[in-house]
Amino acid sequence: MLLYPASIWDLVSFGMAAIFNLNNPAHTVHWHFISLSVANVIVIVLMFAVFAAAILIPFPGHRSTPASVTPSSTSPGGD
Amino acid sequence: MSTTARPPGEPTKSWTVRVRERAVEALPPDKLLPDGQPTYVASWIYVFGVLSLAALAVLIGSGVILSLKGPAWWHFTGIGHFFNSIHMWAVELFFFFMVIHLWGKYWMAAWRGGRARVWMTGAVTFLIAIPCALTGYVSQQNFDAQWIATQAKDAMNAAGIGAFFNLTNFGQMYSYHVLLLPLAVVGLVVAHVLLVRKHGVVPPFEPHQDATLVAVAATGGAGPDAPETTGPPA
Repeated sequence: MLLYPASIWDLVSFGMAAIFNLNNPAHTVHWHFISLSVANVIVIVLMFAVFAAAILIPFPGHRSTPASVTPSSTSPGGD
Repeated sequence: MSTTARPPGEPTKSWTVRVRERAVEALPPDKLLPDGQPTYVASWIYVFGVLSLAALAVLIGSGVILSLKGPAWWHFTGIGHFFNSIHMWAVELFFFFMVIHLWGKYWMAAWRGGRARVWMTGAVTFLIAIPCALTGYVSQQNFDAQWIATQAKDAMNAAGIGAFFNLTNFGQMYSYHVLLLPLAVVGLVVAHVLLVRKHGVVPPFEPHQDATLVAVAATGGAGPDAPETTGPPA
């Protein structure tokens, strides 16, 4: 039963709560003295995945041969 | 009002003129607002700096709205919940993008080429953003905030800074969260971006540098440029 006027956000919240049961203590991962919540582990894994994807996935429109856009304001490579 | 023409290079007593000339000398307009980037910037790993800036902009904008409306609004209205969530998810994305930006810049040694100040302003921004976010947790005005404040105060007291940084003092924590720490973060980010404009985006390693690094690793630290040593290895 809703204790305050329902809105679309309440419905979304209740819908999400039906999928993710948050009415319990957080699940944690223990390894020696390290204790991480599962939510934080997921975020860390996602960061590693996005980092790897950013390196491996080619940038759209990027050509393997050097283009002419090299402003004089930038320093030469390797300095 | 008329101005007096001054020969170039002649010293002036006007501090505004001196500041302007030094600013233009350090950051000419074509460096401050460039219309192109080097070809090596065409990589996804170079995107995370500006993604962090975008998240920071959403963070500041949603934070301003939350501070204008107050806790009753963000706890008990639908639109308040929405902006509260926007603020929280902007924080999540800000740190998410900033950490990947940090990893990328660390592994390409972004302090090369006189860019030490670029690296340092970025690193200090990251360090200041952490208490900025943590003071947000204790500024929520709910039981979650009270629990975090009463737990975290012990850490502050154990570190000897509880008298200056009192987690149970809501006014102090709120001031830190909405003014002092955001001011420091935004100021450092502005300095960071201006320094990037001045020094240019750090380039990737040159192939010959890669070869040098491989040689250094293969020789156990003594690269091809290292002086030759005589006698048996230790």
